Amino acid sequence: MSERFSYPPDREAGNAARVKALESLLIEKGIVTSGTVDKILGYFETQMGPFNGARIVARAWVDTAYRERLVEDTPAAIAELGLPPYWYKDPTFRARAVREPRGLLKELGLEIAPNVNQDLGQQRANPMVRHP
Amino acid sequence: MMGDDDSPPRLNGKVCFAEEWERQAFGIALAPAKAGYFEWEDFRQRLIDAIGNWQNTHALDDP
Repeated sequence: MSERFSYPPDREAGNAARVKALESLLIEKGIVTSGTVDKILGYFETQMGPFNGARIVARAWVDTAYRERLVEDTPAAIAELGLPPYWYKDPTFRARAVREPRGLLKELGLEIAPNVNQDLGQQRANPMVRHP
Repeated sequence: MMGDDDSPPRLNGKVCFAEEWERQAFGIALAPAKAGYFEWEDFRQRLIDAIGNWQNTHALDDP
């Protein structure tokens, strides 16, 4: 690291102390509990992330036949593992789900009768965003 | 923000912070957002502004 990026040796310790103090304050005020932060970080570390991709790659490593099917027809091979298709998070697909849910569901094989109202909700971290 | 494209730093798929306090700081910012105290996006914008302000008022060799 060049001289330009040098910093006092106690900087990291100072930052760590500030973070500890902030956490204590949030706990004291009842905004978080002592386990909340670790629980949320644990979620990021074990539940969220490119784990689907990791599963596909791991399977292809140990299963030659699967690897061939993956190369031959990728979406079908991914579907074998019960994983959502790649377009599942595609912005266009998501936008259509909001704009024309009826048409989209029909393409997926679920026809909603015209006399059935649709109430569309988007699940975010919080709170629920409703699209009228 | 869960499921959005912005996500904590990762190295080879694993959540990766250079220092433990960075991980902890991320957690204490995220926890109240998850509990509904503020919107993550608002926090994000204010953080971007704060960093921008700091950069505009400090020299590169400031500690």
